[in-house]
Amino acid sequence: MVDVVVERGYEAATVEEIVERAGVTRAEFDRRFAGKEDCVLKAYEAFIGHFEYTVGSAYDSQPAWPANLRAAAYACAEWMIEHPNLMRFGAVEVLFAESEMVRVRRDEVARFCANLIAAGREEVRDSTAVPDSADLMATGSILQLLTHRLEQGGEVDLVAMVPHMMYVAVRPYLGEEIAREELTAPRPTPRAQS
Amino acid sequence: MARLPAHLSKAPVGRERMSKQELGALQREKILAAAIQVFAKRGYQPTTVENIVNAAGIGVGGFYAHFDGKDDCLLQAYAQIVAEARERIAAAVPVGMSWPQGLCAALAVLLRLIAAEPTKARVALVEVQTGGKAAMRCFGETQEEAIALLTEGRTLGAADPKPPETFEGATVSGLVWLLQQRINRGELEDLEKLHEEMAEMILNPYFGSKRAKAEIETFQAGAAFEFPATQPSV
Repeated sequence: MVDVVVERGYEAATVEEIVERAGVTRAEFDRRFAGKEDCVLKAYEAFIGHFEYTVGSAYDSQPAWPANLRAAAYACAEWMIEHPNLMRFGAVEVLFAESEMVRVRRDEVARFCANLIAAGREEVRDSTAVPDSADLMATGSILQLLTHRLEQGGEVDLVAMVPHMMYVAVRPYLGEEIAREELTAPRPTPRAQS
Repeated sequence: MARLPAHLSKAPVGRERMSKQELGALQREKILAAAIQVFAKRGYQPTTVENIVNAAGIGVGGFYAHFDGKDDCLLQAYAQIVAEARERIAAAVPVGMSWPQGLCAALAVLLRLIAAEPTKARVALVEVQTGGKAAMRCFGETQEEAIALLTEGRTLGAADPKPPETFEGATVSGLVWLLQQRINRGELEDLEKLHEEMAEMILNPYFGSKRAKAEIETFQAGAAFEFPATQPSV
């Protein structure tokens, strides 16, 4: 389903194409889904679960912030490289879906990521000095940048983007000096292939 | 009988027959205004041309005289909203104003506009993203414009070393996202605080936190800083 939506675009993709590609009968499709919209939403749910599990596990693999955030950021980039179609689908194509629900879910995934960044607040002595919207702002930078580059068909070197994004995420919490260290911080050893 | 003075004998301006072009322009405005309302209320994707012509109270033919279709209508509505915002911002930043003060002023105008015209803000910041490739490209171009404006701060800022070269792109993306979230949730009450946070996040990496704070305080003490009173939520 994702392949068809990504190749043809959300609006142009038809249930007939999806059924044909998946090698199932139309009756089978109708039994499982109420329509294209429903199918997209259910598929989206499944990918979000997988994405959040992967990124969340990487985050938990490191004891302290921002090292755990860095691990999560690389896991996020790796997930996207392994699943380019899923990323395109989740970041861009769902914007063109008719139902509001998928866009709400897209926002919620961003919020999941924002929470990982917001954990930095606990590392700060004077947390009132950190703007409330610092976490949302950093997440937004990443998602918006990604969406635009992808939509314009540009190449995105996701792994190379990580240190820059870490700088943006860490700076409001720990200041310029420590944020700058993120620009040269080594990439954690890639996780074992699952 | 005395004749009427010449200037009174002329037909009042408003009664003169409007030229075809004027009528056309008026109709186009009417459709755009209606389309902005409908896009914001229903969302761009579910909106049909029929919805728009019904809201505008015109025929389908009238619509297609001005627009190629729904997507073209969104592009033109977007261009109109952005042009208006650009004009307001330019008017609020007098020539000769220092860069950090100009940035604070521009940001204040933008936030005030969003609060005053939430419908237009929704179309230009949220719905435009769901409008497909061409709309996304226009949205991207507006963001490039904002990035170019921010990049000026990089050359003026005293902070050393300078932030990484991706900083402006990331900042504009972050601001856009923040505004989208606020618009989506209808949370536009604490603009004063939001202004302060946004200005801080932009100015800090260029000027250092001390100077950034001082600039924001100077701006807040000046006359250009009046946000509309918080409206009680209904």
